[in-house]
Amino acid sequence: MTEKQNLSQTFAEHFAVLEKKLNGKSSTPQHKARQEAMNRFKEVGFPSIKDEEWKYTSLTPLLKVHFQPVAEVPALAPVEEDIAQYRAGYPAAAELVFLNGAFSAELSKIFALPDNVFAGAMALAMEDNHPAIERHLGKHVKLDDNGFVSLNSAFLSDGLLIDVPDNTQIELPIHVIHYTSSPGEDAVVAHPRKLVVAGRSASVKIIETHAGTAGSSYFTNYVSETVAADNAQVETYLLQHHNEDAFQITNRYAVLGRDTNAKFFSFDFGGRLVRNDFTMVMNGEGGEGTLNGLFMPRGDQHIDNHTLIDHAKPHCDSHELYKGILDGESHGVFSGKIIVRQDAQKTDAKQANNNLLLSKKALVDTKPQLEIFADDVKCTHGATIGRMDELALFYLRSRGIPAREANNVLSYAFASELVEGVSVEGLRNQLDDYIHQRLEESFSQEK
Amino acid sequence: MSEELKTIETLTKSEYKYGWTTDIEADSAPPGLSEDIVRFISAKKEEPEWLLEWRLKAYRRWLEMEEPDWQNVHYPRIDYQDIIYYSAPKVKDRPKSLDEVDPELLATYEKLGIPLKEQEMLAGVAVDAVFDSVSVATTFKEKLAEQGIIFCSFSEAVHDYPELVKKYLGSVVPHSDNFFAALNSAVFSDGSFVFVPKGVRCPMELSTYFRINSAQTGQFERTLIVAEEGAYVSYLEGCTAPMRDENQLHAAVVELVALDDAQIKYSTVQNWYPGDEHGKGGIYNFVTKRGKCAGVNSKISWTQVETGSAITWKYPSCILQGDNSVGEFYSVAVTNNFQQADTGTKMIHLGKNTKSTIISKGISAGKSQNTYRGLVKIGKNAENARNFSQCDSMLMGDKCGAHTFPYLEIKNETAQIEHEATTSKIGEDQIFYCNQRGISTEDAVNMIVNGFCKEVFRELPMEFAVEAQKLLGISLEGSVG
Amino acid sequence: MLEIKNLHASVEGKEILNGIDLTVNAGEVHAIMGPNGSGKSTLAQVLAGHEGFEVTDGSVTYEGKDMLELSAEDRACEGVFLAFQYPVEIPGVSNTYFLRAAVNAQRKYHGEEEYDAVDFLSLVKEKMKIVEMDEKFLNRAVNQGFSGGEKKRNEIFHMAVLNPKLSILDETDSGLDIDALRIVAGGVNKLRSKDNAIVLVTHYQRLLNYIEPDFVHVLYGGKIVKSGGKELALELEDQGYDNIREASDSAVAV
Repeated sequence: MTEKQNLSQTFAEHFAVLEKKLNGKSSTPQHKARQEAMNRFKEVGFPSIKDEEWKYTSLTPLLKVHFQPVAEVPALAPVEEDIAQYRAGYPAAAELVFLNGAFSAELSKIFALPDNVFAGAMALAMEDNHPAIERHLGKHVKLDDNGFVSLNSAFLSDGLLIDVPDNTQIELPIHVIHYTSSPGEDAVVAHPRKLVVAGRSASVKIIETHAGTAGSSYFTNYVSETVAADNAQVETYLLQHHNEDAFQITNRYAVLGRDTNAKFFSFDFGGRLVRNDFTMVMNGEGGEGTLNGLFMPRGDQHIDNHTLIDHAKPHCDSHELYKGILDGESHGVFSGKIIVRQDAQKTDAKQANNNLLLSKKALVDTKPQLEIFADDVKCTHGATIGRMDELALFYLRSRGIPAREANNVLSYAFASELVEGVSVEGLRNQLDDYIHQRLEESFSQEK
Repeated sequence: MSEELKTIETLTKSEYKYGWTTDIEADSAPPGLSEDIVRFISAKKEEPEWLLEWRLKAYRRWLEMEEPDWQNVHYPRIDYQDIIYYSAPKVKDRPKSLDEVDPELLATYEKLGIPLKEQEMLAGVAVDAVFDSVSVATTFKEKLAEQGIIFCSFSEAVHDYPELVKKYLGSVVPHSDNFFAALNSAVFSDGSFVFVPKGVRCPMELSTYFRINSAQTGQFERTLIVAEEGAYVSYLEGCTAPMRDENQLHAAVVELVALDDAQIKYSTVQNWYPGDEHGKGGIYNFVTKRGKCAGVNSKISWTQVETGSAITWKYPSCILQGDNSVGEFYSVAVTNNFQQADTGTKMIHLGKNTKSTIISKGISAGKSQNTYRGLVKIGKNAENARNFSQCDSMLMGDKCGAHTFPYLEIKNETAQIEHEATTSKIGEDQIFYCNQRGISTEDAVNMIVNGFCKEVFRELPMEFAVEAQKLLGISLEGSVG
Repeated sequence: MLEIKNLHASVEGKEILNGIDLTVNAGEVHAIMGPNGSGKSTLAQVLAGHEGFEVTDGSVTYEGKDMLELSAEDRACEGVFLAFQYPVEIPGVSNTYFLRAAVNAQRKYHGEEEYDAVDFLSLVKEKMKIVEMDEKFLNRAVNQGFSGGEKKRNEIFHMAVLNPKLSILDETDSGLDIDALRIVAGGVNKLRSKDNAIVLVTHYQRLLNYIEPDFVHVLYGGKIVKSGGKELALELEDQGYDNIREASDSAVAV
C-alpha cells in the first residue's frame, strides 16, 4: 500500500468508528451529509505536487506520520495549564476553548456578550435547530476543492458557531482557542470547524489561537466559513502557534455582502507543514475586504498561503498584503489570485507579497495572478523577495547599535505594517512582543 | 453615447499645429537604397574611409536581416526603395555662424517656437537644429567649449573629433543590433554629438530640435553623448514634421555612455505629425535608444513624452554595467485617433547593487492602441539588483486599447523586483465628480490627465515640463492651453 | 428651497423615477429610505445633474430657479452638494488642489475674488476639525488609497469646505464602523443650520440614530410611497420593506 492509501485507510477506519457510535442516528440529514463528504473524499483523495495548486507543497511528511487508529483521543482532557499560555490576557467578550474540535464548557468563559448573540458549541446549535446552521453550515465551502474540505465535513459533529444578529455590535473581541491534544505515542487528527454569521449592520471581532500538544506530530484539518451580511463589520485574527512538528491544513471561506467591511489577518508562526487556503468572495456592491498575513517559518518549517479574492460585484475594494520572514532552511509559498468578474466594474484590488530572507538557505516561491474580465477596474500587484538591507544595517551599526539588535529592529520594521493594522490593542502588544522574541531567537543563533 | 463621452471625444480632436512646410530648395539623393547611395551620403559628408567601411558593413548586414514582426503595431510593408535617404537645404558653404544661416530656416525654427538667435533664446538652453538630414545651426558652441564641452552636429564631430567618434560610435548600439539600427548605421545623415569631459557639470540644457520637411524623405539621425568620469549633462530632443498624406520613416539611433560617477539625463518631447483623424499619413517613429552605464556609480535617466507619430515603436534602455549604477525610465505616451504606440524600456542589470526605476503612463484616446513593453533582466553576477516598475494606463472613450507586457528574466536570486500595474478609464465618473464640485469639464479633463502624468513631468527640466503639459493639452483637449 | 414635482427619469429607456414629489425647506433634514433598486441613488444623481439620466417629465425648482436647466457645475456653484455613494479617485491631484479649484470655480461664478494658496490652507485646516481628519489627507491624491471610511469622511470634509445650501448625502453611512459613523454624523450635525437643508439617502436605519431627521420618506418603485417622522424609520428596520412592497404593489394592481 502506498503512503497515501495508508492514510486514506486510517481515515476510513476513523469514519467507521464514528458511525458505530451513532447508535441508530445514522439516518439523520447531518449524517447523510457526512457520508456524502466521506465518499467525496474517497474520490478526490489527497492532492499531489502534480496539481498546479500544490506545486510547491508536498504532503509526503504528513503521509509518513503514524496516526492513532481511532478518531478521538481517549479521555485525557488537557488541564488548564496546557492552555493557560494561550489565554487572551486582555479584555474579551468571551473566551471559548475547543479541544480537538469539540467545545469545552469547563475551560470556556463568557464575560460580556449581548443576549441575542450565539457564541459556542455548534453541536448544541445543531440540536436546537439554530437557523444559522440550516442556512449556512457547509453552504459556502466547496467539497470539490480538495480532499481536506471533504474530510473535515465527514467528521463534522461539533465546532464553533458565532451568530451575531442584525444591528448588534460587540465591541470587545471574542477569543477562541483551538487546541489539538495529542498526548500519546501515536499522533491525533482533529477536524475543527467554524461558522461565523454576522447580520445586517452587525459588528464582531474574533481572535483565534491555534495550538496543540508540544512535541507531537498531530494533524489539524481546519475549515471555516464566514458570512457577513450587508453593512456588517467583521474582523478575524488567526494566530497559529502549533509546535514545529505539527501539521495544519486550513480551508477558509468568507462571503461579503453589500457595504460589508471585513478584515482577515493570519499570523503563522508554528507548524512543520502548514497550508492555508483562503477564498474571499466580494458578493455585494460597495464591499471592502482586507486579507493580511504574516508568516515566519524557520528551521525546516514549510508554510504555504494560497488566497483567492473573487470580485463578483461592482464597486468593491480589496486589499491584500502577505509578508514572509524566513529563516533557517524554511520554505514559504505565496500564491494569490484575484478574479474580477465581468459585472465587477469599478473594482479596486491591491495585492502585495513581500518576503524577507534571513538566511541563505531559506526559500520563497511567490505567484501573483490576476484574471480580469471587466474593463473599468484598478488592479495592482507586486511581489518582492529580498534580504536584509546591508546599507541600513550598516547605518544602524555606525550609530552604535549592535548588529544583533540592528537586525532585529530592521526585520521588525518589515513586519510592523501588519501588526499596526491590528485594532485590538492587547493583541497588538502581544504580537509585538512575540515577533520581537522570535527575531531575537533568529539572530542569537550562530550563522 | 453619453454626453461626457461626447465631450471627451470633441476635446480629444484637435489640429496638429506644426503641419506646415518650409519652401526651401533641397539637395536630395534620388529615392532608393544601394551601396551607391551609402557611398553618396558618405561622400557628401566628406567622411573618412573607416566610416564609409562601417556604413557598408552595416548595409550588408541589413540586407541579410528580416524586418521584425513581434511588435503590437501594424503598418503596411515599407518600400525601402521608395524613400529618399538624403535631403539637405541647399547651401554653397556651411555657415560659419548663425548670421550666415538661411533666413528662411531661421524663420522656420522661430515659427516652431525655437528661436536660434542666442540673445532671444531661452536662457540656459543650447540648441542643435536638425533640418531633414543635416544640422543647420548649433547655438552656444563657443560658450560650452570654454569648459571643454563639445556640442556640435555629428558631421562636424566626424571631422573635428574623429578619435572620439571612432571610440564610441556603435559601442552601445552595434551596427548589427537590429533591423532599423542597421539601416540607420548605413545611411545616417546627421545628428548631435555631445562630449562632457571629466569632472565637468554642463552648465546649460543641451537640446536638439529635429524637423522633417521634405516629402518622401526618411530621417536617420544619430546621436552620441559621452559623459566622462564625474560629468553631468541634461539633454533634450524635440521633433515635428509637416502634415503629409504619406507615411514617413524616422529611424534614429541614440547612444549614451556614462563613465564612473557620470550622469546623463535624456529627455524627449516627441511631436512628429501623427496622421489625420482617419489615420492617413504620419511619421513611423522606429528608434533605437540605449545608454550604457559603463562606470561605477553612473546614472542614466530617460524621460519621454510621446504625443506624435502615427506609430511610435521604441524602447530607450539602460545597460547597467558599472557597480552601483542606476537606470531610470519615465514615460508618458499619448495616442489618439488611429495612432499606435509600442514603447517601454529594457533594464539590463549586469553590475552589483544596480538599481532601476520604470514609470510608464499610457493614455489612449480615439481608436488608438497603446502598448507598454518592458524587460527587466538581472544577470547572474548582478548581486542585490533592484527594480521598481509601475505601468499605468488610462483609457479615454471606449474604442481604444491599452496593453501591458512586462518581461522579467532573473538570473540572480538576490534581486528585488517590484511591479505595479493599473488600468483605468477617465470618464463619466471622474468628470461628474469634478462637475459636482463646481469644476468645468474642460478643467476637469486637464486636471485628471496632468495628475495622471505628474510623476513623469516632474522629471523633465522645468521649461520643458511646461511645454510638455501644453503639448498634452493640445493632443487631448484642443481648446485648453 | 427645493421643490420636486412629478419627477420622472430614465436611463437607457428604462424608467427609474416614476413621479417623485418632495418639498424641502431651509433648516430641514429629510431622510429617504428604500430597498435596493428603488431609485434612491438615481434621485440623488438626477438632482446633482448627472447626464447619464434623462428627465422625462416633471419639474425641480431650487431657490426659485428651474434646476433642470442648470449644468452640474452650475448647480454646484448655486450651492447644491452631493456626497457620493462611491467617491471617485483622482490620481496625482491632491485633495487641497482639487478643493481649491472647486472653491475658486464657485467663487468666480459669484464674481468673488479667488483664494490664494495660503488663505485657502488656513480655511481648510479649520474645516478638517469638523470631521477629525488628519492633515496628511490634504496632500494625498483625491480619495486615492483611502479606505472606504476615509472616503466617506472626505466627502463630509468637502461639504464643510464648500458650505452648500442643499446637501444630498448618498449612502454616506454605508460600510462605516460605529466609530466612523459617529464622526461622520457628528460632522453633519455640526454643519446643520437653519439656513441649509440636508437630504440623507440611506439604506440602513442606523444612521438616523445619529442624525435625527425631521421627515422620513420611503421610496419604492421610483415613487415616494410613504412619509412620516423618525418613527417610520424604526418601523422599517423592524418589519423590513415587505409591508411597503405589498401595500404599493397591490395599490398598483387596483
